[in-house]
Amino acid sequence: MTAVSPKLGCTFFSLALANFIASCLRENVIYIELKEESSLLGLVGENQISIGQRIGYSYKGVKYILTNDIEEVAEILARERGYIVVDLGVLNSSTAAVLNKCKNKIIIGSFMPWQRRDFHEFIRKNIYKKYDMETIHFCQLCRDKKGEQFFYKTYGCRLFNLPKIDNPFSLKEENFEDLMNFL
Amino acid sequence: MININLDDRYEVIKTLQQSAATAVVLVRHKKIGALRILKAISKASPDAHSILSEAHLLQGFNSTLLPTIYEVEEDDEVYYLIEEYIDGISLREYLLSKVITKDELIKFAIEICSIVELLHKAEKEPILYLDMKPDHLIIQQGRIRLIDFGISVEKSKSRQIKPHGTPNWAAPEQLRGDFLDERCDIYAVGKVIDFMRSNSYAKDDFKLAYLIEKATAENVEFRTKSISLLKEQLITLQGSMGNEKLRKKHLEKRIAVVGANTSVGTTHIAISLCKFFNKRKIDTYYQDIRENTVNHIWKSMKGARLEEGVLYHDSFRGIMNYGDAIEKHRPPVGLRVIDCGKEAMDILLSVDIIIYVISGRPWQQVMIYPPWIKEKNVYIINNFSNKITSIKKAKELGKRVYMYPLIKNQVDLSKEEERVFTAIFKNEKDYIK
Repeated sequence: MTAVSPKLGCTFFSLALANFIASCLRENVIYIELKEESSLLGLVGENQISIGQRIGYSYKGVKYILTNDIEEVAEILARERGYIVVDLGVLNSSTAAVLNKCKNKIIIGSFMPWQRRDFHEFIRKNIYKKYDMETIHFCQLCRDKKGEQFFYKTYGCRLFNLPKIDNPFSLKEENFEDLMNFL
Repeated sequence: MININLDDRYEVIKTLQQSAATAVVLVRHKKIGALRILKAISKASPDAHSILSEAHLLQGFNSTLLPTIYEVEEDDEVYYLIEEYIDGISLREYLLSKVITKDELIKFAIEICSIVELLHKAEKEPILYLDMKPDHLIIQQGRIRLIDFGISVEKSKSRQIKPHGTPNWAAPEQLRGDFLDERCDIYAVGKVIDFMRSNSYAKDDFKLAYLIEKATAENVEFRTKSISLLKEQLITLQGSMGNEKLRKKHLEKRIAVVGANTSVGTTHIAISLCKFFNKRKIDTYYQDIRENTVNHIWKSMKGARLEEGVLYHDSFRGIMNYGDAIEKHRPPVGLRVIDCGKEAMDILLSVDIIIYVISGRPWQQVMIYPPWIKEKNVYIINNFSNKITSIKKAKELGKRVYMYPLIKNQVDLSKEEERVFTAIFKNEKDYIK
């Protein structure tokens, strides 16, 4: 999962998805935070566990790996079983390699007038003609019908709406259907 | 013989125990007239420190469950400890004179656990009693009190002590001199409960037998984890007995469905039973204690509705097994059908009815049945079977066996299934209206 620009809720939604898989579907899930500096260590870092030969953390049923090593992430994707949610943060040439290895790719953007340009630029620069657009789930932060229609006309694929979640660590049943649809 | 030099304050009434270096004497305080126990030990004795240790351990407690320490004195040759005299008879003497009821047994067992819990949860650090036996439990006005803390230690000092304790009562690791923790007292408490059981009308109680078995497991890793847990289990047992007497309403009851083996149809029968009651307007909730059956049903079943942790689908109601990242919900009020799978002894302690599922398939036969199978509240269902095998099973087990019909439609409750449940629950008048 990645976002077209910072502060669009990539980590927030990645956490919601991982927690939903672990706490509602009761499946194994590994959350990888691929960042130079972890923003989650203080929250999830209390209970240290080993995941394969790596050090990870367990919090509310989700296993966390906090790393900035792309090769390590690629290896985890190849070896580990179950769901793996990768919070890519920023998409660049090196993190794109990880995105390529993911079965489901989610890109979060916003179609608010002042953010629309970023979304188009991101797609043109990083995605368009590089990936099969059908294999990527494009999501918008706030529901915008015109934006959805425009997106479909321009790129020929659907723009999904992110579910409204209050707290990714305390999910509500009303969020389940939307989250399930994402899976 | 030890020489007691406290004549100015105490009058000796009776010598209770005496050896070359120690004495336990019943004394009367000359000024206030109260009876007290005086323990004396020669300073030359290698165990001289035990009196000081006992006083030190008990000084912080302010509980009627433990004896009060009044004074610690010494002269040139002897240490003295003056403590409360607990007037009563020992549990051993008490049990020699009468056979106790299950009610009384559980009441005593809970009281013993409360005393040990007090020691294990001591403010400074846990205290290991290490000498639990019927002779050290005194019944005073119908209540149990614990005496003799001579070999008790603070947990952090338990590594320094040598192998000790009373054989047949002390935990094996204590007699071997291995690492000790609170679980060694749990073992001894389990032994005392077992001793009470052998002198009671509850000899055949399978729930109690299971609690004792867990508490007295030779391997410390398999033993009941804490005295509080044992106490909680005993309270549950006491509660279920109370409920039998008060005739608990069906909405508070719990039915466990237990399989004799894996894949004998436990989950299907439990789900069908839940539907059966709901069709009869009795609010019933299915719960799986081992797996996430209801969560899996939600994933695959269209038209199912989730509300406050419960999955609703036609006449099925299932409690979702959520993890920590889901908002918490209050458990629903209603009859509970608990799918226990194959092994579920802990849950069986707190259920009202057990449906035991066996299989007619030759490769799913079991050789040994659980001891509780003959209990009145246990009903046996023979799945994947025919009339002949069910009759044979009934003869073998010495009680009625209900033949479960072969199911063609996995989703809907069939008339034949309803007939089986009606036959079972006609014996339980609260359930069938």
